[in-house]
Amino acid sequence: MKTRSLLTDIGRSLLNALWFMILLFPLMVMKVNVTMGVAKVDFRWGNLPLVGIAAFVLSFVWKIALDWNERRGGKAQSNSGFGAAKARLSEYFAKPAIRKSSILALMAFAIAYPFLFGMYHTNVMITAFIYVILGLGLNIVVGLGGLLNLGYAAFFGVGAYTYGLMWKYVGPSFVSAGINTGWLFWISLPLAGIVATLFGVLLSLPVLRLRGDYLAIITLAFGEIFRMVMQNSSDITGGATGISLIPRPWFFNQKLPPIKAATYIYFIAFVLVIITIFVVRRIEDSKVGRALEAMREDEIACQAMGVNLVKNKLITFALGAFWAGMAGVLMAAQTTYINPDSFTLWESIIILMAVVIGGTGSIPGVIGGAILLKLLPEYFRALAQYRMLIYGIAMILVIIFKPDGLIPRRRKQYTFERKEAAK
Amino acid sequence: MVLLTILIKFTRIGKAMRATAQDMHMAQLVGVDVNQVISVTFIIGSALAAVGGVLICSYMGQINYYIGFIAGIKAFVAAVLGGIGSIPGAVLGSFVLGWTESLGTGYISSDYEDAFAFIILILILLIKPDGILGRSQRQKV
Repeated sequence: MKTRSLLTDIGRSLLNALWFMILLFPLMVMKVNVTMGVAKVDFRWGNLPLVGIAAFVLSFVWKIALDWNERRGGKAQSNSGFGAAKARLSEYFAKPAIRKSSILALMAFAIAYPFLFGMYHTNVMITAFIYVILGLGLNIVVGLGGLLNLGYAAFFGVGAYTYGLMWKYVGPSFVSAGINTGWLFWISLPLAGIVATLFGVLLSLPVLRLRGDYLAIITLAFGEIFRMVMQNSSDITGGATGISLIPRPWFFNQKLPPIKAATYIYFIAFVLVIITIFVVRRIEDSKVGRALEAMREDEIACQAMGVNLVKNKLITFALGAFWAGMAGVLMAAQTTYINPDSFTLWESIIILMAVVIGGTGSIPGVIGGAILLKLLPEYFRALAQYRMLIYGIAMILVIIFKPDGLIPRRRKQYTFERKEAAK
Repeated sequence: MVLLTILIKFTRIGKAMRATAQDMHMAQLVGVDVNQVISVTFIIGSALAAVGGVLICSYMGQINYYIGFIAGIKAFVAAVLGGIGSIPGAVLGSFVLGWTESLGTGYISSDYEDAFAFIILILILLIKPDGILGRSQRQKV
């Protein structure tokens, strides 16, 4: 039985290899050389067996991996040694003392990080933190509310542009009044959150009746319109050239040199991340969070139970947008330069990818996903042009073998302890 | 379009396709090879996209590897505009999209070429959430 399935596997893989050889024939084997106006077809037969062998090996490995994946799903996880180790590890971490100390160790490491490593690594980490905030914000919309939002980068852009425009229009009066411009950051941070929230409410108005594909495409349209408006109203926003020389936040009344400013922004981002985690956790367990979760599972049943769908959808978009706005200000302060190209559809997709790969709806998952997604391409730079390829392949592998994300969401469980009734 | 309508409406595979779209598990239960149906839909879809690609590159006279991205989004917009699942809707949606884009570019401003498509999309979905020719589906509980 076992050997036969192996034989059929090999046969299948051979067929696949043959298919790929035919399919890639025009690309890999034929090459048209145009020399002096005469087209001549070069046949590079040497490539053909290479394609065949590569396709065979890949297809075979793929089969085995799929098999392994299926078997793993079938068996109880704790049977294998790996599963047992994992179970023991999670049990170990469930103990409050160890859990607390490990979180403390992680925090200590995060605080020491900018002093241990250089400015480059600090900046990379700031970007990762910004994406953690964005991911957690989008997680409210996608993970809790179940509303697919492809225009999330627009809110990010709203935040960044709030700070940029504040600098451009309010900044000069600050300078002439003798107040240092570093305060602008602290004014913009909540302001950007509020402005983004307003935009979130604005977007949620047309999408109240929509769902599924329609919702996704509308949010996408909103994001693209925002970007185009920013790009084309060049008198106000600077158009495609963007806004430059945005000030970094000052440490009270002191202007910081770039290295120290990076550390400073790092800590601001870090504190914001912690606040975000705290707030999102509270939201999850609140009345609104429960209502959102119910809305994700079944809108009609939810409505029948007396949950106000309109209000909840508004809240979802507003909350999600708020964090994106704050993250936008951070981003503008870190790079000191913004232009519309930073807020394309691609950016929304990357944030969505962070959420999906980490595990939709799970907070540690989203954090892990965002950090992974931003750090991997940064440290894969050594591989130059292949890094995006490897990145893409890694994403596909994660989705196929871990469809719920790296750290899947745990459903809430309530265990009742039977208490002796005190009579 | 006629061929596609005939294919979807009258052939065996078309019937199977519609069944799969409605309820994958149920289709499997009544004996539809769901995996095969999915493969066939992808084959047809890719083939049509390839035809579109050939047309667009003979029209534009140049290609690059980003060409598919915005085209894919616009195709999606057109399909949603007309109503997903309706072939005449998709054709109508594409026409509406193309006309708004070129007329908007000509008469209003060429800076906002892509924005017109999206604005018209939002307006139409506000009035008819299922697209121009899409039938509203009743929700079953």
